[in-house]
Amino acid sequence: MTQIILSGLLLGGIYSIVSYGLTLVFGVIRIINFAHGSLLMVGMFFAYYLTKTLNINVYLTLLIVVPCMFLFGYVIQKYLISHVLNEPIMQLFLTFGLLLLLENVALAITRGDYFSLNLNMSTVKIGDAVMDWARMIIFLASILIAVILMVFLHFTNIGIKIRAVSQNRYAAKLIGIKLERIYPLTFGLGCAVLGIASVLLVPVYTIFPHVGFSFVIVAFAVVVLGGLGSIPGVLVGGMIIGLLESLTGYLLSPDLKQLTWYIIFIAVLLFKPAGIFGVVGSEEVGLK
Amino acid sequence: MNALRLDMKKIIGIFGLAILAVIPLFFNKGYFLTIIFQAYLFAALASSWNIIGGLGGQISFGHAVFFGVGAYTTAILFHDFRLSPWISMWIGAFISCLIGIVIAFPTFRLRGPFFSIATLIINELVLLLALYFEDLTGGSQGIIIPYQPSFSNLIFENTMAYVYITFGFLLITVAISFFILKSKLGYYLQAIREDQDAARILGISPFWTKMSGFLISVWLTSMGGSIYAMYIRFIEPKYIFSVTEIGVMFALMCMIGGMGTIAGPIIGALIIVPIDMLLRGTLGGTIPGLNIVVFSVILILFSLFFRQGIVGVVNEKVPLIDKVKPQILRKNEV
Repeated sequence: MTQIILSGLLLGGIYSIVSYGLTLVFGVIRIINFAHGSLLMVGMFFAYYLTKTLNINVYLTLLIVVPCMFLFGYVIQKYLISHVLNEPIMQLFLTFGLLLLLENVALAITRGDYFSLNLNMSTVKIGDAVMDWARMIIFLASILIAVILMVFLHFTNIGIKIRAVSQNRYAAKLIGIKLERIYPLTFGLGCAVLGIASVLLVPVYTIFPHVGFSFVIVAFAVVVLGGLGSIPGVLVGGMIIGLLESLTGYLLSPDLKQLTWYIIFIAVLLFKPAGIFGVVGSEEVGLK
Repeated sequence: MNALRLDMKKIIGIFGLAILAVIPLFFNKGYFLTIIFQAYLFAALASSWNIIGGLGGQISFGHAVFFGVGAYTTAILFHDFRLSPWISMWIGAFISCLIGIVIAFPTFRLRGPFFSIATLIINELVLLLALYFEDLTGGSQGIIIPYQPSFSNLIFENTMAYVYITFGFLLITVAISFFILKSKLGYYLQAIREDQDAARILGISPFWTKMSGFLISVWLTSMGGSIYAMYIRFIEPKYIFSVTEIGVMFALMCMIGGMGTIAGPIIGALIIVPIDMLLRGTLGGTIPGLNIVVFSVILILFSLFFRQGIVGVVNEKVPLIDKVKPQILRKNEV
């Protein structure tokens, strides 16, 4: 049982680390980014190829992947998404188009092969539970990223501007915050955090072009559950979903492991659409 | 009655449908007929989606659920009891509507993209259940429908028969869309799409209006699923309940053709399906996924530059056909 709960928490760490990027994008720019998982997939492939070609430790690729993902996100926001800022329906189509594009370009390049990095990382024993280091690192990194993002959003100039935009974009614009600068920065930041996630996921997951789609759904669930734009919400939401998945898989059936959190997600949308840490009403700003 | 008066637009529409009726006769070859069948089927399904998605503005990404329920009901009833698909497609549609009502209660309160995300999650939930209840659905093994050609079994040796049955189905969906567009329900749906709060103030019940549009759409989608099951004769959950290959496809075809118009979904499907299948045969054969790359680039370009779809572009360029601007949910600018 300890094993189940611990592996649930570690899975929660994975779920929250992939969701920070989405909470920034979804919470601040209000973009329903279906391409989130595909961006994760791009990062994972990038980290994998760098590790293979440069023959370095996978964690060192962070130094290259994260800045590149920042730029990639910046460019996507600035040249594509900025055209559909006030049209939620078109955002759905645009980001879905991006999802299909990225996934299938990856499919065309890789010819649908599966890649995985065999690191043979050692495991660690806590009580009678066994865990591998790669997941432990993700778990710790997830908490660390939450702290860094919190500090960044609360104590730096850009961070405070980002929060202002997420609370009320009209008022933020009135007091002189340049939305057209904040948006690409936020999207880039979201992609950079996603870049960290993608590097850390490489030792854990098999990489293939459609790996991102399941993460998109998880990330939406985590972000809505935790509250749009809320960083601690992502951490807690990820843990809740990880634990639910682990426990349902153990108690009910491994084939139904996502069942409970699907249902809980719909229930949250219904009864508390602002999420656990969200501001009431925040879910509708930008949609009206 | 105003709706029955002939004008330029209707003449063009009838002329277009007449062309669609004779096209299969000129391409009487196996592969072409397959493409035409799929194009007509998706045209009908996209039109059904358009009733709630285009007219009502409720972008459902979960319509694969109803497509799948229709397909599975027909397949299971035929496989186990040899019940004629002509009967079971109604049973499937009825079950779909019951499921639709269950889905509607929690999701209709959600607005805009949140509705889309919720329907997407429900789609995944149904896929999970379909894979789990193997006794009923055959799980990931799928169901193979035995090959017993006859009219009452809706199984034919000749693809031409499927093409014309699907064309009949397309005509029905077009007729239903047309009468909804001209009826009170159509105006209610459009009012809710433009501004739900304002519509409510005018005395329109958003919930029941959406419910009516949704159930009509669900009913037709499920019927299409039944026809598809008997055509393909092998169904498995991963494809039938697929969001990317089925559910979102309806929405994308409507968007490329022109949302909320009658011709839009049909034009969208007639363009997308042949491009997709021909590219799959040529490009996709050598390099997997390249056909969808082309498709996704078209989609991105349309969402950036031609938001009103092909019908919208034509309307702008050829003002003689229509003066009414087609549907786009332009929200107040920042």
